[in-house]
Amino acid sequence: MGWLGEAGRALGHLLVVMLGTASLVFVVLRLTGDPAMMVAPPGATLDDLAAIRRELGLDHSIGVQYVEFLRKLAVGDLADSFRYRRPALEIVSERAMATVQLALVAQLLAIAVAIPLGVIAAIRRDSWLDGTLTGLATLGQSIPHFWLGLMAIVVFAVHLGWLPTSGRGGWLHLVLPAITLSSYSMASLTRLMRSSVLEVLGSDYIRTARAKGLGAGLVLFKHALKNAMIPVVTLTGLQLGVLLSGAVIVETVFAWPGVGRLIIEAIHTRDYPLVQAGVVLMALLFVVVNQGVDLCYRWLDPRMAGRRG
Amino acid sequence: MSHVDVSAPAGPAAVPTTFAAETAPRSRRRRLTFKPAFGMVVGAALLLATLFPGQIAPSSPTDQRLAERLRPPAWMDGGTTGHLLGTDSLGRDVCSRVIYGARTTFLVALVSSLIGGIGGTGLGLLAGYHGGVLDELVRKLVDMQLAFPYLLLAISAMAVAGRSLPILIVVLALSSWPAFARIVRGEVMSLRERQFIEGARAIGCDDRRILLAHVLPGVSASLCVVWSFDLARIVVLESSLSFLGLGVQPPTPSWGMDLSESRQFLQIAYWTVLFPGLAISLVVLAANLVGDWVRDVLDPIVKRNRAAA
Repeated sequence: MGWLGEAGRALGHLLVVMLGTASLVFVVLRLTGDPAMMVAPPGATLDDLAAIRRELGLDHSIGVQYVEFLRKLAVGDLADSFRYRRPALEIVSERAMATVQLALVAQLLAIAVAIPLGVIAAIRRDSWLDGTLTGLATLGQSIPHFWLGLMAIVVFAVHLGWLPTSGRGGWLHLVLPAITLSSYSMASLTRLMRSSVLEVLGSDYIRTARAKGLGAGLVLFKHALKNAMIPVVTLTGLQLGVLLSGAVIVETVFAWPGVGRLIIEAIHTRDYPLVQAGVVLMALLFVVVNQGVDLCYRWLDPRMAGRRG
Repeated sequence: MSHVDVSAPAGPAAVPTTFAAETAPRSRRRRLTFKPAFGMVVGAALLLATLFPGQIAPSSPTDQRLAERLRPPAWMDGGTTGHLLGTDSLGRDVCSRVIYGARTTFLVALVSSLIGGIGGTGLGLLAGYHGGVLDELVRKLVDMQLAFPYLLLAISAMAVAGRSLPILIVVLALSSWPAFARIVRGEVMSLRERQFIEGARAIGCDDRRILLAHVLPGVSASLCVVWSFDLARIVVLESSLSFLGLGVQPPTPSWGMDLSESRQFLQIAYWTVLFPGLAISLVVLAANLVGDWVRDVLDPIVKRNRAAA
């Protein structure tokens, strides 16, 4: 398959996932409740309610509503938010940057810390250092985001007063949320990097490189690391879902004005269009980055070209 | 992910090397060391608290004494031995709530992972054994769901369907089937080519008998590993949903919900948040540690099954 075919396949995959997600969100959200009741002012009469339903397009059958929803989605026109009375996609897009910033910084932090730590743990295998790092990594995988975040607020914001407790502002506001969000990815990446380096170091081509007299450093950095990175790139892609799920929690804990927090707020006010727009945008973000990781993966490992992992 | 996490180098043991990595003894990872022992102690404590909360807890978890609200733990100024871990905003004993919360966490996690595990194992068996369209479908679904931010779907479903225990269990069970299906499918695909399966078919066993009596025992080792990691994951998901206000309903004591209710008192009464979260983290850590240990112990069996294909 040429790269054009690849790109076409990726685009098709993207469309299928988007459509599936959008449909699922639509079905789940329409199962209950009357959105007209939520936007109606107190003391509204039945006629007022009917008028609101007409305005929101809720007087049509569910099938008609669904087709209408898809048609509008195709041209990027999602319904207006019930609460804010303006296009839901607009509101979500305004918040998207905050989520992307948080997720990006967290993932970069995780990679920057995990790769060196994983390599150190691997080359000092079974030493006290390895034991400590592996133990810390298991701990990092076990502590839920919300509790880590709350405890970080108690210690660093309330008790020590070094950092702000919540909200978005300068770089200082980013420190606690980013570290909290990165904890899980950092821990799993460290563990994976460790086992990946160990596996590569045991392979035949590394033995050959050593046999012809190359130094340990050269073997490690020039020969071993590139191959050891392959599973790490895969996991980075797989972790995106965890990262976005985590972002919903971390944004709630730190009052970070991102899409995740917006979705939670919208759920509590039954603002369906806003929830739809939020989840669809998150899904789009997810699929696009996932495809990007896929391409990265093929570039790193030409053996995988034309094959699905 | 499951394949790359295996931390044993593949090369022969006697390679001369400059790295400490390959000369270290390997036998000690088989023994029951501190980590899995710790995990089992926590597991035993969880089981005790689930079975006999009334005998262990100092008082009732729902007993409200507003006069004694937000009392600090016994070792701090103003604490009393009557409330070892202090009281929450309604004057309920934190220690008792943590002990009673164990039952909710444990039973919800157990039931959900059993439902999800049985479903996922069944689908994995059928997909791996028969192949074809079903296999393709299962693989696609697994890949999509494993990577997608499931918390988003769980949040939408809980928000719409309402907070109830059966719905929570369904949502959690739906989150756990892919991990089982993926592992079982992979192992069945290699097992089905083995001679003893061919033999069973030759003496006239039907598919059902082959799958249940000959294939299933072969994948049971891997199931143990997946199951313990899945328990850890479900505990985190359940407490995350409860934290967002979308989990079990009050007055059922739940660690995630306690955390969420006490959040607003974080700055003046951190113990109301510290202890429920500590309990969650300990349980998740314990399940992860036991899972790691079981995997290391069973590793040769899993490898032999895969290699013999």
